[in-house]
Amino acid sequence: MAILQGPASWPSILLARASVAGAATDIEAAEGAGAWTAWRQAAASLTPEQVIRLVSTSGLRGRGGSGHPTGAKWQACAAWPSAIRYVVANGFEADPGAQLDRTLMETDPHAVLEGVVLAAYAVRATTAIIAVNSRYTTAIERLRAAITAAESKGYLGANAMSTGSELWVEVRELAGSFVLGEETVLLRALEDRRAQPDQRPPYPTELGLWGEPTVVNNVETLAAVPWIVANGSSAYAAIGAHAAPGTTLIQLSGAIRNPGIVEVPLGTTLREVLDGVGGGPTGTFKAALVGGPSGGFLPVEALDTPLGFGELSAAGAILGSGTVVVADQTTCLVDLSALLTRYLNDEACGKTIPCRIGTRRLAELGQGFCTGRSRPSDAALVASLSADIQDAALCGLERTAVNPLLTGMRYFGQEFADHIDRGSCPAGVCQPIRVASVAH
Amino acid sequence: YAERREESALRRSGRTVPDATFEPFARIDLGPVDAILARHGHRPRAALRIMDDVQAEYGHLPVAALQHIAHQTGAWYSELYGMATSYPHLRFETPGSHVVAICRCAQCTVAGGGRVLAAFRQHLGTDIGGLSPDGAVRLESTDCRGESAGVPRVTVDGNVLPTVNATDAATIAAALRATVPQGQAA
Ligand SMILES: Cc1cc2nc3c(=O)[nH]c(=O)nc-3n(C[C@H](O)[C@H](O)[C@H](O)COP(=O)(O)O)c2cc1C
Ligand code: SF4
Ligand code: FES
Repeated sequence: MAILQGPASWPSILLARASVAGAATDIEAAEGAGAWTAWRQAAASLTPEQVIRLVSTSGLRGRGGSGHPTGAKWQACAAWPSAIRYVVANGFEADPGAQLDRTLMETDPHAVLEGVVLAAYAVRATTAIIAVNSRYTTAIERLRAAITAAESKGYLGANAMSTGSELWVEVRELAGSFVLGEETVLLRALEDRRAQPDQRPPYPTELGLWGEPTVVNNVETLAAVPWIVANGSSAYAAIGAHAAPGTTLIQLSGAIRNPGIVEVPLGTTLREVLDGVGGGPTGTFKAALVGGPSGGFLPVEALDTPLGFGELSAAGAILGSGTVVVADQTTCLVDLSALLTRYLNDEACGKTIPCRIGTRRLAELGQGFCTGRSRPSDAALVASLSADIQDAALCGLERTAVNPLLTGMRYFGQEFADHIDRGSCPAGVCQPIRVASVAH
Repeated sequence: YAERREESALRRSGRTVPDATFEPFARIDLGPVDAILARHGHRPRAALRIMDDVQAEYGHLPVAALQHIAHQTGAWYSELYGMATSYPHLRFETPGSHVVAICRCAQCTVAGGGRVLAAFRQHLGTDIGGLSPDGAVRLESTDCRGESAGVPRVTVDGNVLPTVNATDAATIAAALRATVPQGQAA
């Protein structure tokens, strides 16, 4: 997928080395473009506590979807009493329609690795694991090559960068369903156990891999850390929005003129990204699905929402996997949201009742809308069931699985009403044949 | 829960239920499993990696191998079985002669993937991760990673189809099932 160029005023942090020849495979080329200077600097002149403070004051927030402040997470892990700690980089990229993390790991494996090393140094972990989707063979190969090259230069290993402590990084290939991207499931998979989430709290920063304090961060979050260490936290805090500084990768696809991946400062509005970089929709814009399969549909009126964690969730969507899929007028949102709910139900682990039965009932109700088998009260039932699922959910999959139907009903209520009350599909996609009510 | 209902209705109907998962109880040559177990030090903590390797060796995860892993590592069979069922890429049945894979990402769904999947479900008589009752075709998931433009990503034996709709899906399913004579599969 093409890497798109934003306006010149947008800083390039994550994809800065994407255009440097050889930076992806050759450590010398990567170092020539600035790789590993942050780790050299930190090992020589910063204590682990100072690294944590740098990351905290930079305001960096997790790009895995939750937006949890990274500095606070590291602090919590470092403060928990234990002799052993782990750092896990989440490169699983659960959304089957996203390739942002893959692009990052393939174009700049050294940035990811250096971020992992800095995180491990900050929380005094001696072992770090990069968990990568087993379908990403190129990324796995390049990360392993980067580890070998860094070990032979003494940046990692028994006496990493002459800090006197050891630091080993390993790549693990994982295969699984959508829920495997969730952090507790990812840890269970790394422990060779059943792929089901655990209740939080206790958070992985207290009870993580093999019961030890563990930092789990998205690879994109970690790749920003070397830049912060090298350029200072105030430089990073000055980029993007006040509540969520820095840049993030966004993938544009669907009915858009220029699909591709672009690095966007947080706080930019969706409209600026879709029209400015994506060249606008190919047909008549209807909705943008923001955040992957469990994201929300935003109508044209909501396009001035800035890309940020709080702003998007207020609008009903999530930053999630970082994908924005544009749907034009030929699509039926009732059909789409029902299908996405069904997908999420299929990918759910089945550990808890809201997961196993709640999402299934939600998918059945959604399907009922499309086939004309719904009752007038079903819209209210979807709303109340969704609220119950969100309240009772064990993991983030269920909590966000309600998004497609809820945002659909919130912004495209007329379309839902047409299906439920009149048995017609304005887009002509579904055939909601109204079955004559037999008994009342 | 809905599929359970379907399954028990099928069982109550009195017809013989095709259940490929009973086949692999047949004995297999356990030599390769022993080699894999030795490579991982017979550790229950490497169970997922052991199962991955066994599947790479046999093309599927024979239940006999699972029993052997339980005996040799000391892990409970139920624990291993539960684990194997929680990973969609691990399968107990032989792969089948053909594989149809479909992407379910948001973009493929926008492009009409839902109807194509429904058609495959109906005409192959199975769901994602399953084998058609005659053992001819396996339905799997694939990832397009946002690459498919306007067409849901479907691959047949690894080849991407340039276009596909629900009608095509029915034709493809019928054609694939016809290439394998009844009763000779697996
Ligand atoms: C269903 C589900 C899927 C997820 N998939 C991913 C994923 O593919 N990659 C990722 O980094 N985080 C994913 N997450 C978020 C992780 O649970 C976790 O919050 C994240 O890895 C923490 O990193 P961060 O603090 O850098 O965001 C997922 C969460 C849920 C609930
Ligand atoms: S009966 Fe209860 S404990 Fe048993 S599988 Fe169902 S939900 Fe779990
Ligand atoms: S997917 Fe089952 S508890 Fe979240």
